[in-house]
Amino acid sequence: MIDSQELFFMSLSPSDSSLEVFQTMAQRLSQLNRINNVAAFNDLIVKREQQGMTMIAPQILMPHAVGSVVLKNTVLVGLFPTAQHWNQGLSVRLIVMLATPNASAAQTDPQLMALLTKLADEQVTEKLVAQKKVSQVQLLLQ
Amino acid sequence: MQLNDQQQALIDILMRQNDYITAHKLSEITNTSTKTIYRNVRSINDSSESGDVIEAARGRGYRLNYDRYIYERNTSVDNTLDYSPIERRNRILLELLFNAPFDLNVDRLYEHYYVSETVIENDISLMNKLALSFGLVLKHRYRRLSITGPEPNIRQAIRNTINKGDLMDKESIDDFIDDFHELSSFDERFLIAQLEYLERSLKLTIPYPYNINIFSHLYILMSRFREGKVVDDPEQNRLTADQKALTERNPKFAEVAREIIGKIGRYLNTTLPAIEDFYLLQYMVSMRYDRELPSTNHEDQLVDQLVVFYVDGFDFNGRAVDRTALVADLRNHIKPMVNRLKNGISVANHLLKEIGSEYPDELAQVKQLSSEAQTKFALPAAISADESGFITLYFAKYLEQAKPAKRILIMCASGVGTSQLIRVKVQKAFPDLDVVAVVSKDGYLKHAADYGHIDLIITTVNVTPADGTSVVMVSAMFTKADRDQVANWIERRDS
Repeated sequence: MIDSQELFFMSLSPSDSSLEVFQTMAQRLSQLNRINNVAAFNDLIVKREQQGMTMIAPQILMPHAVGSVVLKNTVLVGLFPTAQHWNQGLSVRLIVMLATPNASAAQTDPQLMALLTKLADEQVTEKLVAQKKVSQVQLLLQ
Repeated sequence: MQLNDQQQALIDILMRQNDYITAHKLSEITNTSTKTIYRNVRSINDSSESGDVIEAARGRGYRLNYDRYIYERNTSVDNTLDYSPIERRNRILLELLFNAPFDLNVDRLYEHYYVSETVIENDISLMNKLALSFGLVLKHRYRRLSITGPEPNIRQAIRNTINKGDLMDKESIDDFIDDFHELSSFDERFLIAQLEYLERSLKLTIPYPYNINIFSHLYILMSRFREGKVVDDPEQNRLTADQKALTERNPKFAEVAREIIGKIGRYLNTTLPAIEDFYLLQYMVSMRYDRELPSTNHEDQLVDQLVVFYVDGFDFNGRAVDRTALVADLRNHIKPMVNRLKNGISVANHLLKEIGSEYPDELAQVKQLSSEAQTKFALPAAISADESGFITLYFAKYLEQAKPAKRILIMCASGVGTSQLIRVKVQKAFPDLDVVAVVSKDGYLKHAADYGHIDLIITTVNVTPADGTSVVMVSAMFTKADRDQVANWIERRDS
């Protein structure tokens, strides 16, 4: 089970702009005191997306950033009320945003591994995007 | 053509003569009796394969056919001198065993070996010890040797001596036959027909080396009844309860054994004792057939325990072998092996030397396990080095199949997140791949050497390794299409 101090959930408002969605989530991480620079963090996230889509399953995106702006390994999960039009004609329902101060911190984190193992399971990812409420997603991932 | 001194002297005399010379005259020159001349002439002619070397004409005497003599001298291969002392003793012991209980003249036995009297005496004392170890007695009286003892012991001694003498070190029945000059082409054809009959009636193929085993068993059987004298002992001819049970468990096999023994009896123009049916049956159930044979639960349990004992006890050195397949394969071998142990049947492993040099550690391990198994499971006989050699081959096969796992790097821009997720998915889809690390592209480009030899990089970002390491680009989702790409790469690499 992921420590609640590491895994957070939020609902996302429909938006036409992915940048806007990332911005919203970065601000939340800042509020949670997990990053110390929203703009710099957001820059990392966007740069990563530009290198290649982080779509890990149908309708599930996993944007991630590694850098000293991150204070602690954190996963922020955001759910749209309905599937959102995203880049390249794809649609997104769930965003699993990953923030880590350095790669080794992420790679050796057992709780993060447990979460990724769940996300590697197609049955789980199918269920996740079929949920209506954040609380239901939370149940599936905790 | 092998000649002793006396025979060579006779030839020398005849070579100097231009015309016929009488036996009487020859006996005068050689200072021997005419009887000795007759005997030597006969034995010289018998040893020639192209016809009489010494021609006789009534009233005129003998003359050398010089052309034939030269031909015979050039074509005869004198290999008796090449025998090592062990081979020599084994060959003589075999001759005595085949002829048991009849006695043979020492001088005739050693005729072709050109060894001194001291060597012969030493041989006799060593053969005596060998005979005793089989529960047989070697008698030495008036320069004649004979072996006596129960028939099963004589057969066992013949089998063991054949194995030791490398006579069974043969890859095919043809090789085996080549080494037994005594075997006539009639016998050879007859015995091969019996093997074929056996295979046909049981609808199976007898694999090497068991075909040689059965062949040699039948050959020994025939030779014993032809050259020696098999004592018809009612005590030995009665089946024990175990033997009866084995016969009843394998009715079809027993029937075929009976038929074949009947045919051999008719071929030899005699009636073979009923116990011969059982001896042959023992060989038949001790073979490894393509199909499973019925067996008792008790036997099955022992077989299973032995297989597990070997597989568990073997140190695979961390290599991931296909244990299930190995157990199944080994089981098919151990099952008839248990039968062989029970019935005192030995198999020769002509590969043993090669196995020893190619897989020394594996063979040593198996031998150790074999000796432990004998005590642990109270086996009726020791598992021989030949048997251990066969078992080693199974381990070697599976060890070779377990090639070192392919070393994989998983890469994305940061080495975090999607690449970690891909790692989980790759390991799930390809458990045989060794995922060495999850890396960021920058980290890899800076420290590529740190990861050692890498077979494949699975990456979500574009990368061109300087050393030409293979790359498979996948999406972060690691979809079925991505899995197929990796699977294709593995297939290409393996072929």
